[in-house]
Amino acid sequence: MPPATKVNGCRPGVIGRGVSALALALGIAFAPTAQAFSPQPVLHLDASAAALGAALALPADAPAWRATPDALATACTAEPDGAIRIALLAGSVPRLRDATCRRSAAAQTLVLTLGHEALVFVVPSGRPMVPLDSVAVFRAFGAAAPRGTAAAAGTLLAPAAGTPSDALLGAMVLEHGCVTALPMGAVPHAAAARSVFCAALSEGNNVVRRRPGSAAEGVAQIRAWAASAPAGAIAAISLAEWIELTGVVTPVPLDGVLPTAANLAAGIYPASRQIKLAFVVPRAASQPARNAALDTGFALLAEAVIGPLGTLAGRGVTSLPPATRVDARLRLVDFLEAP
Amino acid sequence: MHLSRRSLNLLALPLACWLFAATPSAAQAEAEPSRGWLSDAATAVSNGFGSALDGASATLRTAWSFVLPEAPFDFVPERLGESDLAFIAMMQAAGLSLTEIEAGGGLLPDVRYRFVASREPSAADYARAARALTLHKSSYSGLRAIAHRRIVRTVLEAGEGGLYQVEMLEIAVRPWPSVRYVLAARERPIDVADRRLLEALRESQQR
Repeated sequence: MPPATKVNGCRPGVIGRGVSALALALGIAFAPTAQAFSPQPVLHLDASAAALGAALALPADAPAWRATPDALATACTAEPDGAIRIALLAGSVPRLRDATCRRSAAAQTLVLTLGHEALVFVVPSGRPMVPLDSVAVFRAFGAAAPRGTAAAAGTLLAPAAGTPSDALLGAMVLEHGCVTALPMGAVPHAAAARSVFCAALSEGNNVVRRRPGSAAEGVAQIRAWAASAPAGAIAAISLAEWIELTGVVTPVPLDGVLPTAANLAAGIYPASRQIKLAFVVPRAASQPARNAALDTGFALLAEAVIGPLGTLAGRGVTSLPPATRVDARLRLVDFLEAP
Repeated sequence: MHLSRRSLNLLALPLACWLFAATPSAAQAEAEPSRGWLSDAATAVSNGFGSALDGASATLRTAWSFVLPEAPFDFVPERLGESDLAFIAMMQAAGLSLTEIEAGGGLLPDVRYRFVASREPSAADYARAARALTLHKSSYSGLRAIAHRRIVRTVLEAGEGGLYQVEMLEIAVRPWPSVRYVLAARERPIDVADRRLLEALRESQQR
């Protein structure tokens, strides 16, 4: 409330007190409205990228991530306040969804790639490298695979349940092997049921799941495994863990492709997915809102986050080439400054 | 009877054609004795015009192929080229299986391939198909490969992230190339027969 002003050394009169009271009342009455027009963007964190939310360090005054099962769908829902929405997700953003989002949210959209997440199959260093394919992995370690079909099945150190690596193993390796190896009638038709059916790992003693824990604990578990692994043993680990354990374990090709940075960038390594940042900007968004979104966007695209030594790299996300990172920032500026 | 050289040629040409249609093998020809002057003359003419007749025969076969119905044997996957097989693999990755090959027709031969959704495609299916598309682009070139990629990309764009998915796809290669997509809603009411079956199952479970 502004202080009551003195006029010619007089004390505030009835009118002065009345104006102050009115201002206070108006302030209280319209406070929620003023908050509704806050220029800060709303951040949606998709379930597929939930583990990465903490890695995206934001300024102290930036809004917090809101976890949601489908961040893009939530971001594309028309909101009455017209706030700019930013969604972080893993996987691709189909063109159809993008077009639908633009129409439903009366907005413009920009989707940027931050990097790639990958699952790597490794053997202890010095052991013979046996190239793997999805069908062989499914036959050897999939619960739905008919027993006795695996040729010289070894043992698998599988990722902890519920981790991004586990999701990649199930969706990109086991499911592919499942639909390829099993007859059509043996595989559920519905996508959700098929995912559960195909992604289940064998209950036998040839599969050992890692215990959930911190990144350091995970690395320690793999190190211990590599020291005592029997012949024919393989481990499915994240890219970050492999980078941490270079020299201790050696990656093996999956479906004939090694998880190199070039293969990941080209999109030909099977057990990988892109990490995307989607901006949904309503056409009615104000300039202060665009400026605030630009600040937040720059914080998310900073070298400290998406660079080779950034926080995302620490979580196993490969960084993009320098020119691509610069291009992403330029595209964001162009997008948010466009009328 | 005296036959001039010109009339001999006129007589020999149709005979040579007839002989070509039922040409014995070289070994048989050597083993069999000469059957007289007419046969010898025909053989001589046939040898002289052999290469020309080979070409004429090929042309004739091509002409017949435009008129006669196509044989399905030539269009089964086992007889297709590497590029076509890669296309079928991409379609399978997207959840579409080759289920029918129609070959036939009359004056204008008709060959068409039908792909049907063998499963409800998941995000992982689409990701795999997109990866196969990237690999295909680096391995195959030419108009045919471009057309293959265009079809797969359309399937992905139509189905991925939408309310509809490609349920059936028909590709005609003869008499002229064409593509027909059938999109079906992901959530749709079941038909009468399926509903009866479902109700019967529920009833049996309740019992």
